Amino acid sequence: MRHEMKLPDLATTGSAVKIVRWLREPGQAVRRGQPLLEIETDKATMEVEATVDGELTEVSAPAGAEVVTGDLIAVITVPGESASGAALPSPESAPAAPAASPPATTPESSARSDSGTTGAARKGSLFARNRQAAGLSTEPASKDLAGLPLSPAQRVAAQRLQASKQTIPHFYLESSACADGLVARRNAAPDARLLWDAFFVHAVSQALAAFPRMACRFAEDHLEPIESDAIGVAVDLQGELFVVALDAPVTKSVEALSQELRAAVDALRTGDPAARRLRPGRITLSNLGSTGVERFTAIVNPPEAAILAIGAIRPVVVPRGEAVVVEPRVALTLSVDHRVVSGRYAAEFLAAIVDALEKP
Amino acid sequence: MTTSHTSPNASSATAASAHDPAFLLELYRRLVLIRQFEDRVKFLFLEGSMPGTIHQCQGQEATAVGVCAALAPDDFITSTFRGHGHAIAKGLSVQELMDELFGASTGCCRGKGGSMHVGNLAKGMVPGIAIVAGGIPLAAGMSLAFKLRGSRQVTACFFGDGAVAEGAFHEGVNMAAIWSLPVIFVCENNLYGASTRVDLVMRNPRISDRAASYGFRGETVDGNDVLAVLEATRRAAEECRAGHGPVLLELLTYRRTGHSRRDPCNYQPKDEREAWATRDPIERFAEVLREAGLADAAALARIHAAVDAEITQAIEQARRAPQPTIADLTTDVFA
Repeated sequence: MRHEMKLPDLATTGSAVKIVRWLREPGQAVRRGQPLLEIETDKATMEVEATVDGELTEVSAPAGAEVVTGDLIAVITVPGESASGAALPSPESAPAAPAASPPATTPESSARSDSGTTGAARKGSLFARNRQAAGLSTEPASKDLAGLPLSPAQRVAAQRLQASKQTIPHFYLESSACADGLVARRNAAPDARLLWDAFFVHAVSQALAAFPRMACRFAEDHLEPIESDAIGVAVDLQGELFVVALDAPVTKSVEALSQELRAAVDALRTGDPAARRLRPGRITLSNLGSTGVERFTAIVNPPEAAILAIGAIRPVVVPRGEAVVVEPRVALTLSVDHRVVSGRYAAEFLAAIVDALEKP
Repeated sequence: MTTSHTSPNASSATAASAHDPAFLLELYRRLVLIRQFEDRVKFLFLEGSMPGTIHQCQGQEATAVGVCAALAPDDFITSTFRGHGHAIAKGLSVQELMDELFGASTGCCRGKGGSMHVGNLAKGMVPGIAIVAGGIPLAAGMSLAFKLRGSRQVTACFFGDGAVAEGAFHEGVNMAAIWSLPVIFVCENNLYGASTRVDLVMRNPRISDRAASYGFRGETVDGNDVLAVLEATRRAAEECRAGHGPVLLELLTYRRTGHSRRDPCNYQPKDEREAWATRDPIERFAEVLREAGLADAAALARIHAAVDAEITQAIEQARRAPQPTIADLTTDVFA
């Protein structure tokens, strides 16, 4: 018997829910109570269990799709009069023998334009009507991105960035560091794939140890030390922003930090909910060097007091005494919450980062 | 005023021998009834048959069953948003509960209470009070009424560890203390107030110690040992009926599910979950029954099957039960 699995009412505000990944594939057997997929609500990432025993026949809402409560997400074929313990058929899933089943969707075809079609396909449903009333588009995005829906994570990022830029009095300090030592160390390392970010995290962690006020957050009438020893690294995965928190970096080698960061990014790519969880850090690093951008200013990631924007390492002509030399340099721009530290304090902190980077 | 601490492995087959076998098997049936009720309701929610969110008590069945089995039918309990187990333990029928969860007019609150407010005054359960600690002052008030009337009734007031830091806890408990009211304050300490672990919000996580500061007796009990809970509640009820109340019972237990259905419960560490899974109240009591020679595996399986059939029947009937009509809109409500 055909059992239509619908999205349970798991969001806390009735907002759309994103399918993160399916834990079973079409053709595989599923058991009642077995985690079938992971979803991302407005509040948490969680697993959703199968409600019947049977075979997963169709995935109607592929990874990446956005759905609302009541939307069809999968079809499970339940063997006729199955063994005891199988779920009771719900009245609405009685064999109404739909003329045409929804087309099976492969993960490859789960482009953005697919999201939302499940809702639109059943316009008559209460959920679809509610969604339209709430102004949520149920139509596929058009070619020019008009109406392109933001994922729950993107919406949260948008709100946080807007709040940061509007409420935190930012100031910006620019400097640069000679990258001779960095390049030499990376070339000499047995692991040729050491991540550049690991060098910067290492240097910032050393500087931070001497400038504890940089690791505080503003709390109305006093400062509060941030209860974390982590440094964050901003990661962009197909337009979704994440911050990987590396714990206690001051105690770790560049090699260890590089490995840890690489593993964390891999976990993010697979949709691992633990990796996607937001964790506080003392400061965030944002590195756009690989794009060739020379320098940029970043927006502070609350509740942190500063963010370091790192540009590309490029050869620069530098006067040295009477001579002129060409050396690889990297531009560093520190965005700072002026409520937490003074310009001078932050400038000394940035100088300490430069020192640490240039140290052989 | 002392606070005694029962050792985790106190009860067992020796304690079981002091009870009537039929009574013990009924305790077991109640435990299984609560577990299976909660498990079935979970799937009804997941398949979209049941509206609203739900707060479930898988893992905590022995607190409800042990306390209520020590009470008389005309004794009262107050409950919380996590009240399905309390209701079944106090003798509400699976049918009136299931109907209530389906919003049917045949439900215990005529479909107007829902999951968070189940109760039946005729069976000694005030409809669930979903505000954290909200039931504590009410339990003190009810017990004052019992005392003034000279009845021998007691109130068992259920609340969680999260309620202890609320102002209402202090107000209600202090009132009960100064007037020696017949109320058993039953703290189901499942270690988490929603997602917050007790040691983050309490410098002294031994909740029963609070009783001494109000001048009455507190006791910490293994809340996953149904006989230990039963015995502790009987002692407390006797003291209350003798005019020596109140008593604070702290029942140590663990929730095997999220705070609500929308809570993925990521904050419970894996090793902690696994450690508590080995102390499951139903499996432990099954072991006690087997050791005492009161039930073999087949007898226990028959209980499970009968419970399963009872719940299946209740769900079938609840699906067909009548819903309230427009004419019911203004009945049974104050505002």
